[in-house]
Amino acid sequence: MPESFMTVSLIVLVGIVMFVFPLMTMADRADDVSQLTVETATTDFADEIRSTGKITPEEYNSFVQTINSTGNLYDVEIQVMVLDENPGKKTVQVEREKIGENVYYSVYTSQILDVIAPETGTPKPYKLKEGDRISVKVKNTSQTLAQQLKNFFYTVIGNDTYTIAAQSAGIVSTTGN
Amino acid sequence: MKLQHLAVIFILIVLPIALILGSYIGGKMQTLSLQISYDNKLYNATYDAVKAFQLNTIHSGESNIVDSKLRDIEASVTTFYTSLQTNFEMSGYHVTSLNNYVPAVVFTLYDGYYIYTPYKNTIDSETADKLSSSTSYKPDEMIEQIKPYVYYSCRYKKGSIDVVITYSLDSYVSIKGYNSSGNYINLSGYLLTDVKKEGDIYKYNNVEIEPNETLKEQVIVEGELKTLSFRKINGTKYYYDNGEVFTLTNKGEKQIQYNMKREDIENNNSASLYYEQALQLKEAIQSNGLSNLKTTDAVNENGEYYTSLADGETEKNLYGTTGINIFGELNGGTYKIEDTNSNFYAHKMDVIKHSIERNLAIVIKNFQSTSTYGFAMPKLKDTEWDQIAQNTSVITFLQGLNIGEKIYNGYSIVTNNKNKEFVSEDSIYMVTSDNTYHRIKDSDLLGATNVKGYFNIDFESKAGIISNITNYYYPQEALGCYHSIVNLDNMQEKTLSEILSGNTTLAKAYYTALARERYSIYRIENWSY
Repeated sequence: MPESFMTVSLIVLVGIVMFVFPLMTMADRADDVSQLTVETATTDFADEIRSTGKITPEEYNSFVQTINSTGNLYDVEIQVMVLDENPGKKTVQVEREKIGENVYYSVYTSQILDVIAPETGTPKPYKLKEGDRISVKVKNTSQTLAQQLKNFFYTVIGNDTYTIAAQSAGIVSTTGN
Repeated sequence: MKLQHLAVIFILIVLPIALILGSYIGGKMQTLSLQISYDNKLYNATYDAVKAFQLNTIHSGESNIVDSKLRDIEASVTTFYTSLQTNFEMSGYHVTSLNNYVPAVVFTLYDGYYIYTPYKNTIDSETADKLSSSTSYKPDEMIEQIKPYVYYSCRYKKGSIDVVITYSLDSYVSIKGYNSSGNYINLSGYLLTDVKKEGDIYKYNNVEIEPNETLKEQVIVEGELKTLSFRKINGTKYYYDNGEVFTLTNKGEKQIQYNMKREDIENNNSASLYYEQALQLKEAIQSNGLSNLKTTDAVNENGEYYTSLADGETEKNLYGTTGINIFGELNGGTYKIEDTNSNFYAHKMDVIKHSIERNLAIVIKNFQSTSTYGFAMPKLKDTEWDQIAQNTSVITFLQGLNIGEKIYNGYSIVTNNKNKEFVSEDSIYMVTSDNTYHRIKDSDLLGATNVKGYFNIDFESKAGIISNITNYYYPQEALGCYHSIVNLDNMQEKTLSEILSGNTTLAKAYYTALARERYSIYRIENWSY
C-alpha cells in the first residue's frame, strides 16, 4: 500500500515537472512576447499622434488590431490634455506663465472614441494642437495562459491584476490639419 | 530506466532551454525598451531645442539678421544638449560629453538650412602663418560649429540659359544667372498662377484684394502700453503715434524714421505689392525665355547634366528622364503652380530632399572619422520629408550609444510652427467681430462678415519693459476660439481652396492677410527698400 501510494505520488510529481513546468515557462515567454508587441505598438501609436497632431480612426483600429493579435483582450485608455491659454491672457502681466493660468483640461477615452469610432455617423480624426499632451495606457483585461496557470497553483487574482501593460506619453509637436 | 531518471533528464534538457530563451527574450525586451526610451529622450530634447529657438526669435526684433539667427541657433543647440543630458541623467557633466554621439543637428529654414556639426577647421598655410600666437584657432582642429548656410538651390542650363534657382518652403523663388540672350538676370518673387490686375485692383483666384489696410496692435513704447497703427516692412514693424513714425529697439526705445509719413503706415498696400511682384515675375520668366526650362535641364556643380552622367553614378537621372516644364503651371493647367500637388512642388521637393540628404550624408561620413562606431545616415520616410517641407524644422541625430543587443541609431524631427521666417497657409488666424481668433478652416467663420487676418505669432506674448520690470503683453489681444484654436473639433473637412471658393468675404480677408504677411517678412534681397 505505501509503495503504490509512493508510486502514484511520484507519477503526479513527475507529471507536474514534465508537463506543467515547461507549459508555465512557455506561457511566461508568450506573455513576454505579447508585452514586447504591445509596448512597441503603444509607443508607435503615441509617437504617431505626437508627430502628426491627430488620432485617426485608421491608426486607432490598426493599433487595436496589433495588440489584439497577441491573443488577449486589452483595455486602451487615451487621455488628451488640451492646453488652454485663454485664461492666462491679460493685457499686461509680469509673469510670462503663471501657475494655474495656463490651464490643461483633460479629454478621456470615451470622448475621443465618440469622434474616431462613433456608434452612428462617420468616424473622423480627433485633432490636437501643438502643446497638448497625449497619454496612451494599455493593459490586458483577459487572463493570459500564464496568469491562469499561476492562479491554479497560487492565487494572485484581483481586480487590477494584469501582466501585460504599456504606457506612452508626451507633448504633441504638430497641429493636426 | 526509472520514472525519476526520466524526470531528471527532462529537467536537464528543458531547464537550460527555458533559461536561455528567457534571457534572450529578456535581452530583446531590454533593448527595445531602451530604444523606445532613447527615442523619447531625443524627441523631447529636439522639442526643447525648437521651443528655445521659438522663444528667442519671437521676442527679438532682430532675429532675422544672420548674426542674431546664428546666435539663436547656437542657443537652441545648447538647449538641445542640456536637455539631452538632463534626460539621460547626466547633468553635471560637461556639455560636450554627448558630442561624440550627435553627428548633426539640422535647422531647416525658409530657403535653406544650417547644419551644426563637428568639422575640421581647414586653414591654409598662408592664413595660419598670419594668425596671432594667442588665437584659439588652429589648423586642422576639429571644431563643433554651424556650417555655412546651404540654399535649396539647383543649377539649370539650356542653350544660353544658365541659372541657379533657389526654392523655398512656399512658391517663392529667386533666379540668378544668364537668360536666353546671355544677359545677367536676378529675379525673385512668388509664383502664382491666377493673378490678374483690373484697374488698380489685384485679383487672386477671382477674389479682389484689399488695396489698402490700416492695422493696429498693442505695443510697449518707452514704458507705456499703447494701441498703435503699424506696418511691417522687411521684417521690421513701423509704428505711427502722435505725428511720428518709428521703429522700436528690443528695449522698447523709439527710433524715429523721418523719411516715412503717417500715410505710409496707415495705407498698408503690402498685399497688393505681393501680387504685383508675382505678376512681374511671371512676365519676367516669359520675357527671359525661362518658360520652357525643364527639370531635365538640371546640372550638377560641374555643369554636367544629371541625365548624361555615366551609368552607375549615384546621381544619374536624379530628377527623372521625362522633362517637366518647371514654370509650365504658371499659365494654368490641372493644378496651380503654388498648390502642393503641382509638378513644380514635386520638383522643388526633390531639390530640397537631394540637397539635405547629400550634405547630411557627407557630414555624417566625416563624423565617422572621429569615432569607432560606423555612423550611417538613416533613411527618412516620405511623410517625414513632407513634414520638413511644411514648415521650418529641426532634425537631430543620435547614434552610437550601446543599448544592449545593438547600437542605437535614431533621429528626430520636430517642426517649428511659430516663426518669423515662413508664413504658411495655416499660420494666418482670422479675428472676428467678437474679438476671437480662429483657424481658417473653422466652421464658425462660414457666416462671418467682419473678419481680418493676422500672422499667428502676433497672438503670442511678447516682452516689453515698463518701469524697469519686464512685462508681457499680446500684440493682438483676441482670445483663441474654443472650436478651432484650443480644440480643433469644428474644422471643415475640405481643402483650403474649397472653403474659400464658396465665401468671397472670407477669401478676400484671408488672401489679403496671407499676401501682406508674406510680402512683409525679412528677405535679404530687400535690403535696398
